[in-house]
Amino acid sequence: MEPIIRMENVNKWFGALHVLKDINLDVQKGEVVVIIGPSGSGKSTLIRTINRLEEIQKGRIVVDGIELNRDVRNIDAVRKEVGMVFQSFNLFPHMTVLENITLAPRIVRKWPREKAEQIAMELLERVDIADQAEKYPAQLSGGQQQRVAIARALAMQPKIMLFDEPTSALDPEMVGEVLDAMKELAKSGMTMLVVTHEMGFAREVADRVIFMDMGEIIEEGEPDQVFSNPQHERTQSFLARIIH
Amino acid sequence: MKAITWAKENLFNGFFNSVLTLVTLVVLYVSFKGIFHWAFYEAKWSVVPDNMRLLMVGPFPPDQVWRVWAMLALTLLVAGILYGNVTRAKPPLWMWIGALVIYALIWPVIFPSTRFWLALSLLALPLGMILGPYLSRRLLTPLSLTALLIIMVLPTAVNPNQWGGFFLTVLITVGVSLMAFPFGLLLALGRTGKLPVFRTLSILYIELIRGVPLVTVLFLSWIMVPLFVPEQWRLPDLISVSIGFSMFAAAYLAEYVRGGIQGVPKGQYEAAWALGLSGSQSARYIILPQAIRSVIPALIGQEIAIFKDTSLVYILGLFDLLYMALTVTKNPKYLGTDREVLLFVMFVYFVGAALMSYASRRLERAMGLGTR
Amino acid sequence: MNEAGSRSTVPFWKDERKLGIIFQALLLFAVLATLAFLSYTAYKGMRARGLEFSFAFLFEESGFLISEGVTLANDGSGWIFRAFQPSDANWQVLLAGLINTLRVSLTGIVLTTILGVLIGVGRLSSNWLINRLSFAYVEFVRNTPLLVQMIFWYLAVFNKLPPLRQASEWYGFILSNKGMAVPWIATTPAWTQFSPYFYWGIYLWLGLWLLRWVWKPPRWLYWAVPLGSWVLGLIMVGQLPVTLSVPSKQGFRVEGGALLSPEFSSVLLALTIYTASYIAEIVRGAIQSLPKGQWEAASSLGLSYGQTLRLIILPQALRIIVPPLGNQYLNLTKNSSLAIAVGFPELFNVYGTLANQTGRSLEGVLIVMAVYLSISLSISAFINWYNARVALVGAAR
Repeated sequence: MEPIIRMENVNKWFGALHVLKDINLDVQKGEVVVIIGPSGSGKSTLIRTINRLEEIQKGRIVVDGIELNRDVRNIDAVRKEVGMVFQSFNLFPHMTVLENITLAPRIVRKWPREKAEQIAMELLERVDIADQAEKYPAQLSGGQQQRVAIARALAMQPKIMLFDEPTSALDPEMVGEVLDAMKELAKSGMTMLVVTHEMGFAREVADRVIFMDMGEIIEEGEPDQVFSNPQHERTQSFLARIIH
Repeated sequence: MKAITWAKENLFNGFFNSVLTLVTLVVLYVSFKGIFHWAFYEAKWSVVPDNMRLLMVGPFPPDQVWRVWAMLALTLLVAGILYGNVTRAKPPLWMWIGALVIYALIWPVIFPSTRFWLALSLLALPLGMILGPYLSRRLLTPLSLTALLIIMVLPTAVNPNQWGGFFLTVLITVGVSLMAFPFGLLLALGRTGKLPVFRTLSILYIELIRGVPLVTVLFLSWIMVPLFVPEQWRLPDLISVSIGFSMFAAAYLAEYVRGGIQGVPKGQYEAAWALGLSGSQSARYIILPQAIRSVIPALIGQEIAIFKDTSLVYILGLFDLLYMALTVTKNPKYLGTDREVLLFVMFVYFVGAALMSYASRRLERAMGLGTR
Repeated sequence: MNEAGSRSTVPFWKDERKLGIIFQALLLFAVLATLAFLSYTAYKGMRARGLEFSFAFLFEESGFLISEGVTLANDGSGWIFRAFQPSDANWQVLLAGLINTLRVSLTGIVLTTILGVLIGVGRLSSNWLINRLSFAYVEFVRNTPLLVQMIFWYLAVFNKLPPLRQASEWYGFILSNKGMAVPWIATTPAWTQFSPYFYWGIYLWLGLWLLRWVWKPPRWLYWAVPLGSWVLGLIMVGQLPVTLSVPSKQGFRVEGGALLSPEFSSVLLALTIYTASYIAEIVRGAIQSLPKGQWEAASSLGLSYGQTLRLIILPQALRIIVPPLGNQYLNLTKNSSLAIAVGFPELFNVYGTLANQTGRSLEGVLIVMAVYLSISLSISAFINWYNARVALVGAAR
């Protein structure tokens, strides 16, 4: 089976800083991959290269058969197929929840308003906040906002969903509702790449866990294997530090 | 007694403050004694109402002044309709009372023909508000555009060189703001964009304009714009000056909008791109609406500045309010009334600017709710 | 979709990076083409009307009079500053205008800062009267155009002052229709002997400052050196080289002091009062923006109100104030161009007369704009330099 994401020898520098070193990564369709690692390890940068929020200087990335290079058409095509959820939600404050979700489908996929709104309401049902459709983001709690962000990304009917530390900015009591939405998404067969510190989530839903440090993939494998029996010393010390 | 306690706390709390209050009161008394005496006994205030037409519309032919009234009434009507349609609010009581009071006050000093127009204009706003909700949303845009067209065409029956007075002041304020807006927006986008050529050109333009006084830009424009136009056209001064004025205003506008654009968090850009929006789509739907919303108070401040700066066209010989005021004093009958007319001019500007500030504060408060 | 092992060629019109370059090249070309077209049309337009474009007029004799002004002239033995004469060249009249602009701007800047700070502090006063008066001042002055205020001062105040004979004297200030006479510094005969010591004090200070890269002198040397030179001079000469000259009425003239013409006075007054209202708001904003915590921390450490103000509050307030303050100084300088409306011969006014006389309106306005631009850029550069110097170490700006 052709992987839906293929990264070959990917390298990235920020000026003189080498932030991604020879990354080789294949993700299969329907796979849920969780990436963990200390801050500055490059995990956020890694997933941001997949929808080209970050450029790479060396290597090759192919998403759903589309080569990600400087060709504008390719970049646009990839971004339609890849959805992203950010740590700081990034909802559009001057639009209602419904407008936030229907904007991109209407002007990028050129759907008529009725279709976009119908899909939007279905998604809001799915993440369990259909009654907030006419509210503005500022009137919602953090957990609600993040769930709207998930619905907004899903409205474009992407093939891949990227999550960049989706719960790190939330108060503890709201983390659960967002993770529930993500779990439901995983069960429905979405290809997901998740950067997170939520080990419980990884254990429950991930097909593969990747540990990154200093721009390199140190270790990867099934969650039970990586968490209970880490092979590398750096993995061991990282896990020891965070599981306390 | 409440008054005494209040005075004790606010005027005489402590030795220093007490002395300060006393000294200030003495200074105030001495200065204002002379001023009050002049204002009530010596001043020839009749110069203002006697020349009201000149002050308001300048050398506009008196038999055509109805056009200006029509413009005013139409503007107020459409404003009322739009406001009434959107907010579905009924005209407040103070609007009716205010209209009545103003009419009663001005009624004795104006011609019968003007009375009709005055009444029409005063009633236009509340009438529009009542009418507003009955019109369907779809009608609004064509209605506004037709009204705008009529308003723009009405005065052209009279040679622009004869437009003057407060009418000209308002016209220049509105016209310059409208012309400056698209250009200023472009400059702001160029300034904050990624492409170095756009950025450099924008920065050069903005810094150039901000380094020179407005009056020099007006002069340059007044000299140069007619050179691009065949001499036979006889381009009115109003146009050549307004073009320069707009280019000046655009540079300042660009800086305000730039502040707004830079205030939009980077995450908004990323979310838009991640959703697949193109650069121009992101700008149009996400970035600019937020940027402009955050700078509306500054924009209104800019409006007030433009309003005040229209007085500079006096130097170029355009017949604005200031020019008319000073011309009136050259009439032998009203010689020496400079203080009276200048105070009137200051009063008009003050009221205009104060109204705009008030509107700005109301707008800020209204926007703070929900659309942050 | 192509599944290629090697890189596929990207057509250049869809290449992200190349597109950017193409857009910019197009824009640059469009701008240059427009400029070229405009210049050409303007040139043709001028030719059609029988005008030409040249700067030679600068060296022709001006032939007109300005009411006050000092310019640079060569009197045979060197270049000195002296009063303007109609036989001087056009560039000298422009220079006289520039000097007048600087004269009124610099004086205005000093006065408006003082007034602005006073009113700004007054806005925060606990004294209701002062508080409300300051508020009324700011609101009234800011909402009225500067030009109208300037004309008001000129026509409605200074023009209506009594002639010298009936003018009132008040602690050395005489207000008449000749203008405002103020006490000023005048040199005594002893000045000629003292002046070398005076100038040397300045040169030595300058030398110290320039040489600070090479040798860093202790701070006290900076004021000790000029002061020492001046004190030495005083001792050597034995008399005061300067004295306060108080104006007095002598028939139809004013003797002594300095006479500020009605034009200069009204421009100065209008600029000062108008800009002060903006400065007051800046000062008020800066003081109010300082977190209360600073006051609390200082008082918990035992500092008095005065000490807190001097050591903690004002230094921080100064950092906040300087950029907008510098901007207001810039505005004041540019606004001096409005003096054309009252007849004060500053740069723009002089240009106006010059343009009338020589018909060189386009060349003239370009020169004038270039001069204003230079002044603005200098002030901006100074503000930036000062800002960088006092910026908090490590503060993200």
